[in-house]
Amino acid sequence: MTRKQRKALHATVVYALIILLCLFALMPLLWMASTSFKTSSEQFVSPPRWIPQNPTLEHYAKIFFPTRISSGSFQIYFFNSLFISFMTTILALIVALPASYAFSRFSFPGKDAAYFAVLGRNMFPLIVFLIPLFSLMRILGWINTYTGLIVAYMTFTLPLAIWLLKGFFDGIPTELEKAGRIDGCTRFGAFMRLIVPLTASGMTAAGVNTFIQAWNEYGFARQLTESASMRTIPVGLAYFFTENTSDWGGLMASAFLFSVPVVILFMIIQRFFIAALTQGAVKQ
Amino acid sequence: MAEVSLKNIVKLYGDVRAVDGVSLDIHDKEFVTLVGPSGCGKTTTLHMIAGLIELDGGDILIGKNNVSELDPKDRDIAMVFQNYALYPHKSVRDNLMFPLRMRKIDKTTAEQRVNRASKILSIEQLLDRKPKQLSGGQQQRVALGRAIVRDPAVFLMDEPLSNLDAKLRVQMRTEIKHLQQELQATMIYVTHDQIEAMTMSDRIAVMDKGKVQQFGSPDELFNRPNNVFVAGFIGNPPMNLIPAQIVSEGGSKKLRMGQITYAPQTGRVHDLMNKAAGEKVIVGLRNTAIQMVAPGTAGSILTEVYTVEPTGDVTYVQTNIGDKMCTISSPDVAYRGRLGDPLSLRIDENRLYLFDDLSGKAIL
Repeated sequence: MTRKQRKALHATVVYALIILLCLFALMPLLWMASTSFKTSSEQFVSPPRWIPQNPTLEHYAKIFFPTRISSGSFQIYFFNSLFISFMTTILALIVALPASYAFSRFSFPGKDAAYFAVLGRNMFPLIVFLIPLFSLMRILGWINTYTGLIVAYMTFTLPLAIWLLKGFFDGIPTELEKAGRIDGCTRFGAFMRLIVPLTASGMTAAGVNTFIQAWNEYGFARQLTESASMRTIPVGLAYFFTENTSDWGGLMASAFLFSVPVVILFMIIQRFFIAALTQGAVKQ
Repeated sequence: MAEVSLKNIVKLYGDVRAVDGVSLDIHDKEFVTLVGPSGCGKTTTLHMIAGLIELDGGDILIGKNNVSELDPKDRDIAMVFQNYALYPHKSVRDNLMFPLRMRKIDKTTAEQRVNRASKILSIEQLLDRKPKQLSGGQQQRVALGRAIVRDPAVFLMDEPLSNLDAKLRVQMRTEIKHLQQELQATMIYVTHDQIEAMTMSDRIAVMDKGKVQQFGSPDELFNRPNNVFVAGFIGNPPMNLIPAQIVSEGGSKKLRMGQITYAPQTGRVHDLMNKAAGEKVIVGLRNTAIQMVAPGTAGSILTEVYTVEPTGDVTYVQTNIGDKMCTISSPDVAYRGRLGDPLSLRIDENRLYLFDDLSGKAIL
């Protein structure tokens, strides 16, 4: 085999593997999309069909206009998910930005311990926090409220946001703020005018990550909400199965719509996201 | 422009006295350099003048104002940083405009000032670029420009040339000195490079261990160093500092440097030796104060060549004098001695220094 042939063979093998892996990852998604357009009877035909013979939108119609009174409609779930994820993102950034800046720039007693505590949160499974959070939310009267969920989501979104942004601030020379303060800014002014604009891609990365985490969350949302009007999509999905029925079509249609925003979001900002992650990680 | 007074300023980091009672009076329109090795406190001192580091003691006056408690923005200073600290998301023009905008200077005046500064520094054609599109030298000019537009009372320079390559550094050195004279500016400049300090400054403060070791003109520091530290720091190559002992032999005092016993020829050195507090001293000799002479010349000492270092216009010879490696200049640039070649050296006693071995102070 010549060198050229070896290279070609190598490329073929590599691409074959990549395609195989992509198929493996995509298959459930494609199956989900396919099933959502099948009639209820076609869902269970054997052998299974990838392309529906009689495509239908009945499941989509059903999730937007439910017949059962007890279940909320998809648009309510969608709005709840969107609102909670969005507010979680905003609040996480508002808190993480000054916190990570302080961790990056200031020295204060207990700094290392505090930073360790922030990151240490990630060492515990989320479920550990559920019962104490539930008690806390009950005392505060925040069960079944947006506030309750948004605050609960801070417990797992903030640590990563702080860590990501701190890496970013660490990469910005302190001389910039010093120059700003000499040029006429207060310390806060220098932070807002000179440093924050430079962390735009870091904030994008932290924001998107926070949004996706909140968007996908199930456990807290399941336990801290009660009424159908407060459910987020992941919780809503679980209600397609009851003791007596399992509505595959509705589940698949909802799950498909649930995945779309995240995929679109990620496609738009993936360039920033990768740049942000590497810039935070590798100091220049 | 204004004079600057540091009155016994102190900065503590835990038990470390990073700046330990520094007092300096810097005149209006003067170019003063703080020079010293890393960790000597020079940059901390500069940042204290800027207000970026708080004082733990003492006072700083700019003009007649005590600025010790003021924010950096209220001290009427401008600063150029080693890494230039240009605002990366702003164009060159906006970088220059920024300090003026912050001070709410009206747009027409601000634009005039920016144009004037960019003309002085020949950066007019760069105004619309972003900092990362500029070379190191150009970034340096922009950083200087941002300081100039302010027309501040004092310019502070924190090792502004350290990130430039050797050739550009020499060029910018000349330009900054020229600029300071053209603007009639009071400039406080920090560097670890004593050549920069010597070539640019009206006066130099040599710092070590948080203290000013000596404050004076380049000539004073070079010719009348206060102590061993200044003697060893200022001058290139550095002064040869040879540990020695004052001994009495045959009724007269002599200097013993390792195996060499040297009998001084002049009254000046005898007087110096009489004033020596103890017996142990350090002999200071610049490379030009030790001359290579013909073998057998009266009063000469004998050593051997260790290495010869031609540099083009000067040829340095390294040799051991009293167990101490010393550098001397060969009178003949073409001299190419080999390892072990004999050397006869005569000491120019008018330019011999003695320092107290314990305190390091010059013995007058």
